[in-house]
Amino acid sequence: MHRDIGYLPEQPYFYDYLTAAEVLDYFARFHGLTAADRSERVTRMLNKVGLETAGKIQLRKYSKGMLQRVGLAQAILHEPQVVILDEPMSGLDPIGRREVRDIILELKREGRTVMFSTHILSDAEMLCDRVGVIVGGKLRGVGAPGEIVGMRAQGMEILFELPGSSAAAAAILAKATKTGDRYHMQVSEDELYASLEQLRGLRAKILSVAQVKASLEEYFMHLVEADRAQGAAVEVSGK
Amino acid sequence: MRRAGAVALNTFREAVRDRVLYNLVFFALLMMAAAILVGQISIGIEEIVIKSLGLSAISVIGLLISVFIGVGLVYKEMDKRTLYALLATPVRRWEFLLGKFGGLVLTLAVNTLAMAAGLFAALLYVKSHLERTDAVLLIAVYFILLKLMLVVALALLFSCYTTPLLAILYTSALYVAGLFVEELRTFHLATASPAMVGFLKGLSYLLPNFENFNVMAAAARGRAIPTALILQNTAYAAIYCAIVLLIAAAVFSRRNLK
Repeated sequence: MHRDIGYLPEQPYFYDYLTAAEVLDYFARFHGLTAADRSERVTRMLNKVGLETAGKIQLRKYSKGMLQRVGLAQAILHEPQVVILDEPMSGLDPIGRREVRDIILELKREGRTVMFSTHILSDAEMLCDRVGVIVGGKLRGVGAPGEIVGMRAQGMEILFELPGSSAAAAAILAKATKTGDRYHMQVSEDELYASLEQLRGLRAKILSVAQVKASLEEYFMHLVEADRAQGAAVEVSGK
Repeated sequence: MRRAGAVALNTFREAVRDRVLYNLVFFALLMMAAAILVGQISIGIEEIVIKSLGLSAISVIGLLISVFIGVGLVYKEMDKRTLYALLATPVRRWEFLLGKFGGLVLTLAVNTLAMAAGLFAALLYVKSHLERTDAVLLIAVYFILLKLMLVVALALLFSCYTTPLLAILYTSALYVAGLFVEELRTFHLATASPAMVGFLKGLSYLLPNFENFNVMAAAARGRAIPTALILQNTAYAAIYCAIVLLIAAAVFSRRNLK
C-alpha cells in the first residue's frame, strides 16, 4: 500500500546535512528502485519541482519554500497514485504558494489523486474537485466547492460608471461601493433587471454583470457562526 | 534488509558530516604525545604504557560516541520530524531501528579501526618494530567493539521511549552496573539473606557483563587470549544485542508518534 501513496508532512524536515539529490536518492532506496532508476528519477523530480540548480546544496541552506518543494518531490518520487499533502502551502510566500499550486495541478493533470489539508480556503476552492469542510473536528460538508457554496447564493454584482450626479443617482449610489471611477453594486437576482433599468435611466455605463458566488470561506464562517450560536443557546438553557 | 542498509548508510553519512570522526584528531595527538613523552617518564615499560593508554583511549572515546550519539538515534528523528516522511515509505519500523543500529556500529568500527591503526603507529615509533604478540591488541580492540555494540543497542532501546538526557543516565547506569556483574555473583559472601542472594544472582545474569570484554591488561602485556573467550564474547554480544534490539523494536512499533 505504501508504494501507492506519497505523503508530505506538514512543514517537512529532512536531514539538513544532505543535499536535495541525496535526500531523494535516500527515499528512492525504500521503494526498491535500481541505481540507474534512482538517478533518473531524482533528476526528473528535481526538475519537476524547480530545484535542478539547487540539487547539490545541503538542505540547511534551503528556504522554507525550497524545503516544501523537496518534500513534494519526495512524496511523488515513486509516482504514487494517491498523494497526501498536509498543509502544503502553509508558511509559504506568494511565489512559493503559486509554485506548489502549479505542481498540484500538474499531478491532477497526470491523473493522480491529490488529497490535501489546508486552512487557506481560496486554495482549496481553486484546486479541488471535491472538498470536505471540517469545523470543530467534525466533517460538516463534502462535495464540489461550487455545490457546497451554491447552498448560499449571494446574488449579482453590477459594475458600472456614472458620470455626473443627480438626486435620482444619489439613491442608487447609496447602495453601491466606489472604487476609483467605478461603482460596484450587489443586488439579489430578483432586483437585477429593475436595477439595470434604473442605471440605464441615469445613463450609467454598465461594465459587467456577474453572479456573486459565495466563497468557501463564507460557507466555513457560516458553519462556525452557527456552531457558536448553538453553543450560546445551550449555555443559556443550561443556566 | 536493503532498506535497513539504506538507513545504516545514511546514519553513517550523518556521523561523518556531523564531524564525529574528528575525535580521531584528538586520539592522534594523544598517541603522538604519549609516544614522545612515554620514553622519558617510564623507562623499560614504554610499550605497556603505550598499549594501555591506547586501548583505554579507544574504549573511552568509543563509549562517549556510543552513548551520546546512540541516545539520539531515534529521538532526534522524532524531534526533528524527519521520521514522518520516512515511515510513510515501505520501510518498516524494525528495519529503521536495525539500520540506525548498523549505521552507528559502522561508524564506531571505522573509528575504532582508525584508532587501532594509530596505536600501532605509536608502537612502531616507540619500538621500531612490531612483534607477533602485538596482534593480541587486535583482539582487545575487537572486544572493545563488541562492548560498544552492546552499549549502542542499549542506548537505542532507551532512545525509543525517553529523552536523550534520561537515556544517557540509563545507559551509563547500566554500563557501570555491567562492570560489577562478577561482584554481584559473589555478593553472597557478604550477606546472610538468601532472597537477596537470589535476587542479586538473577540480576547479574540480566545485566550486560561488560567486564568480560576487558582484556586490556593482558593485551598490554602481550599475553594470549583464549580462543574460547573470543567465541564466548562474540556469541554473548550477538545474542545480547539481538535481544535488546528485539525489545527496542517491540517498544518502537507500539510507540505513538503523534
